[in-house]
Amino acid sequence: MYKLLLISKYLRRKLAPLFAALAVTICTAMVIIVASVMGGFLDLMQTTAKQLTPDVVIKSSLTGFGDYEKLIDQLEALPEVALATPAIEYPATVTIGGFTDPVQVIGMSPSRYNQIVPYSETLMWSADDLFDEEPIEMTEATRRGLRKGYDLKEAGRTLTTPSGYERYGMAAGGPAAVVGIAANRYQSRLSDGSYAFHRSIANVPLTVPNKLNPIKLALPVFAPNGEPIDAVQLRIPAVNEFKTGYYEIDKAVIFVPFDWLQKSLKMQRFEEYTDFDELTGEGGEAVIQPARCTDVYVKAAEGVDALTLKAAVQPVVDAHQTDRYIGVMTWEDVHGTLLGAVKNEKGMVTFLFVIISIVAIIMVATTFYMIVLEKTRDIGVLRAIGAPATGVLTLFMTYGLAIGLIGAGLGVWLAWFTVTNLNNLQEALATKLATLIATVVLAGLVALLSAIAMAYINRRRDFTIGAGVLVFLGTFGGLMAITFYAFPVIQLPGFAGETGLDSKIGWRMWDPQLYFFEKIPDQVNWGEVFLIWVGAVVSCVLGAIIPAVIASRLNPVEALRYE
Amino acid sequence: MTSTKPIIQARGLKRSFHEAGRELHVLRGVDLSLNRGEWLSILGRSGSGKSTLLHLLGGLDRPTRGTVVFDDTDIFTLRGAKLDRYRNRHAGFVFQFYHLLPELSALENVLIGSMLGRDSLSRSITGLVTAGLIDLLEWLSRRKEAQKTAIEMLDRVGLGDRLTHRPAKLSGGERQRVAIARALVNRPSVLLADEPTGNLDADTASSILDLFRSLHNDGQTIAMVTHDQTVADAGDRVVTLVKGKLTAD
Repeated sequence: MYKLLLISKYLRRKLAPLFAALAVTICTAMVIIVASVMGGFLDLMQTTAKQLTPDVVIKSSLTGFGDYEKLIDQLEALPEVALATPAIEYPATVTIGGFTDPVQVIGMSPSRYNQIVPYSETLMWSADDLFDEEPIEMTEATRRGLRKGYDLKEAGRTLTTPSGYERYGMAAGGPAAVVGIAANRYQSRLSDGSYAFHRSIANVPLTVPNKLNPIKLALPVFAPNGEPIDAVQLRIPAVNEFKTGYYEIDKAVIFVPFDWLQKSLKMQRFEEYTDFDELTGEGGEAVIQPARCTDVYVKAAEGVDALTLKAAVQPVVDAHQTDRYIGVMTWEDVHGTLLGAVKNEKGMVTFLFVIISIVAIIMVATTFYMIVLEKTRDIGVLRAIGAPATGVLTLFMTYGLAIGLIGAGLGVWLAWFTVTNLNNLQEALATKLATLIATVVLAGLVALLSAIAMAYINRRRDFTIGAGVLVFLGTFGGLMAITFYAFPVIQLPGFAGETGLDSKIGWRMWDPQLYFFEKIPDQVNWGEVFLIWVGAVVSCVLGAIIPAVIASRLNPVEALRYE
Repeated sequence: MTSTKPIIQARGLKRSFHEAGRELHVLRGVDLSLNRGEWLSILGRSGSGKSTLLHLLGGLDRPTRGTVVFDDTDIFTLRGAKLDRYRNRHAGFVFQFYHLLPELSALENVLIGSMLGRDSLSRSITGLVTAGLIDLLEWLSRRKEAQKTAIEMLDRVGLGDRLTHRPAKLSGGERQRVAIARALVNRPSVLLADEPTGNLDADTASSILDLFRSLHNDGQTIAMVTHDQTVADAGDRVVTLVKGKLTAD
């Protein structure tokens, strides 16, 4: 019991352990914040990458492979497969307005593709956007007409040109394209990371005459044997834009109807004659060339993961192999390079911060060594009145544990608070600096008054209590102020139209115009948090071990005589 | 009040220290008996070894040679928790410089002795966690009684109105009284006082001696070391320690 009494007194009346606890708090928070943000970043990348990538992709070369209908039938007979659909993924250049850029054209059957991935959920614009951008006042009848004629959502979902486009030379019901939001150079992100409809190439009715639509695609054409035979230039109206949030996809992918692309690339079924006399044209044999595709997208049945699906699909694909290799990839394999890089970065950064956190252990060890030196005579007194050496050992170990529990506990709170308010914090720093500083100063003053009041109420007149409370309340009070600011409860007068670091020095912690995602990941993984918390507490106890052993081994008589 | 049966007997006590490569013989063979209820004064100059002798009698230090027998047991045959228990239950130390724990109030400084009382007992029984829980439950069951005893002790030394004062807020004499109350809280067999008045003015020293006299009259056995003949004369018997040897017993 004397240990609990002494620990509670030491914690309240000594400044050094409060700083040790603060170091533990900051180190714990730092590791959790890094792991959470990097982990959140990875999760977001995985989620967005997964959006338009099927569970498993069967992929061949640009010349494609034939008899894919048979392969699909065989695949769909597998219990692990829910659905399979052919696709053509093809390199091309796209010309939108005056800009020509390399892209990947994906030819797919929208109805089946939609069942494999949530494609239609990524479409940006609907008919309602037309009215947000209306340049003229419209009657209700005009609105209804526009809504009916330019159903952008439906046009994008089915990859067909809506009925209102024919006046601009695009046949209603014909093939249409959906362009990645970042592939359109006329489109750019606003300061909050969002996109504007008036820069969309789908806003045909409002920007006539339109120089951007239809878009122009240029693609090489290969014979089934792989020889390049032609290059085609295609014109197709773009009826919508899509956005996954995964920049690599949003920047470089254009969706078009599968049949249209297959026909344009001469990959449909056709008959040719071989071994005929080239001079007379006589003889020879008619050969049927089957329709080709470059990819088959496969969706896993309920409860089947991508790796299991890949293992099930592989033998079927192997039996279908021709002289051209057909590979099987999970969605993670498809995005392996980028996801692997982020995983490595997360591991590396977390490791570096763990190394830095060893400082906290050294800090605790140093603090405890100083405390042992300072308390040498007390240790002698405790031994003189009957405290065992193990009691002194456990006294300092428990003291370390207490600092660990308090420091790491506050660290978890601080990390949770910071991570969940990171977007608000950066917004405040970037745009409302004066209000932010004012609220933090206000919170600091409240903290100071609280500390003085607490010291007075306790009648201790002992500044270490006040200082400790001040440190913690000041830190957390400042953060609380940010929260209040973020959910604006406090409205400080006189700061209207103020600026922040963004306009002063062009600094933003996370610029939504540049990154894949508009927002910083703000979720904490409580499993990871628990492990980090345990690590921090154990580190504190480890830091206290050597000083505790030194304390327990002190000769009581020498300790009593210690000057 | 004094019984003729010795409560503590020291036989052939020697204590040497290694200092700067040479042997320093502080005690050179001390034989001493302390009877139950007796107030023994050990007189000696600075460096004569009186504090060392007191530390040996209280089991705080170990002799180079010799024995200290308490109730028929050589305390230096006791190991670990048993020797800790001896110090806690049977020897109450009072030091010249009080040695109070500065973070604790007067009451807490006294109470800590009784908190330790059972702690050292349970330490050897089970693991640390279980022992800690046993300590906690055991302490909760006797907390009120221990607090009452501690308050009685502080009342006895005249500090009933200073319970919540921390050492920094007390005078030298008051601190020494708190130290005496702490030494007495477990009702030890012998009170071992090391120059208890050495750091006090004459009036305060006199009041501390009055307190010792009162305790002695109530049957408390006291061994007190001092360099002051007047203070030593307050005891029943005076022995003199010169260069590590007793010259009178």
